[in-house]
Amino acid sequence: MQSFGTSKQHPFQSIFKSSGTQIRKRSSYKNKMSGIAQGRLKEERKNWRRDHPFGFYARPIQNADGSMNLMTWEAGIPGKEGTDWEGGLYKVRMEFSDEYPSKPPKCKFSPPLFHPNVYPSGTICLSILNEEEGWRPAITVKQMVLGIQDLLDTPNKNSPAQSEAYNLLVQNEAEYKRRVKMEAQKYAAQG
Amino acid sequence: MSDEKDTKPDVGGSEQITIRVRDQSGEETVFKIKQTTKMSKVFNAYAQRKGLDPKALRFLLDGQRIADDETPKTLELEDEDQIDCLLEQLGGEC
Repeated sequence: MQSFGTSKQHPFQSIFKSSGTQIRKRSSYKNKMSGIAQGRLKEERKNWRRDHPFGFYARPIQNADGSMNLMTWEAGIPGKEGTDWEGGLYKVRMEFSDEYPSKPPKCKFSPPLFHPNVYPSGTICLSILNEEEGWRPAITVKQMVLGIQDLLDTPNKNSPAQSEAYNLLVQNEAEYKRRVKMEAQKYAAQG
Repeated sequence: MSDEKDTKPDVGGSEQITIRVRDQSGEETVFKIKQTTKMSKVFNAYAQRKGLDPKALRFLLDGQRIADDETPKTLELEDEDQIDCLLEQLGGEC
């Protein structure tokens, strides 16, 4: 009987132990979240290094001490061949939060770009980058930058984000095209 | 425990990596080089294979031009990394 009692205590103790670790896990929940973001971003960077669309770049910025800051990336997006944007390389800053990939990164043209669907701040208004619309956690950095490239030449007139580019596009398309070509020259890819 | 660390992989001390050069059409050319090989050697071999003047090409890693005297080591290249090859061009001269 006595031996029975002690053997019964063992599983009991192990339950206590496991519930103890569970509590600890919950208190570091936020850390866990950013761990997920960091892990995914590490993977994204690895995949990018091995395979990325021609002429693009995307890399985490460096901290002052030379280490990598995985949560903020700088990307270069070339204008598509055969469009008015061709020849330019447009710089985008991608800011990931701890909730990534549940939430999309904030993507901003830096400096802000002349485009109907780009806010004066440079923030890009695109369905696949909007948490409430087309964002899905499975969307990769590669898909994002390709999506942004595609947006350049397919502005959505129904959802303007800046008045300058929007007004020109609807009022005087020839002048709009001229301005776009000027942008392409301004941000000409340098060798 | 730490004994395992002492055995080096059997590659004669200078580890080889594979790098992939991608051009505008998406075509890839693969090079196996040593960590200490100068990149100019890769560029020249690539140009020769394509029948082009190496001076007419530029090679980018993360959007930045790779200098001739860099090596995979100085560039911190990893196995299977991709670099982009662009035609040399000069804008605004028209």
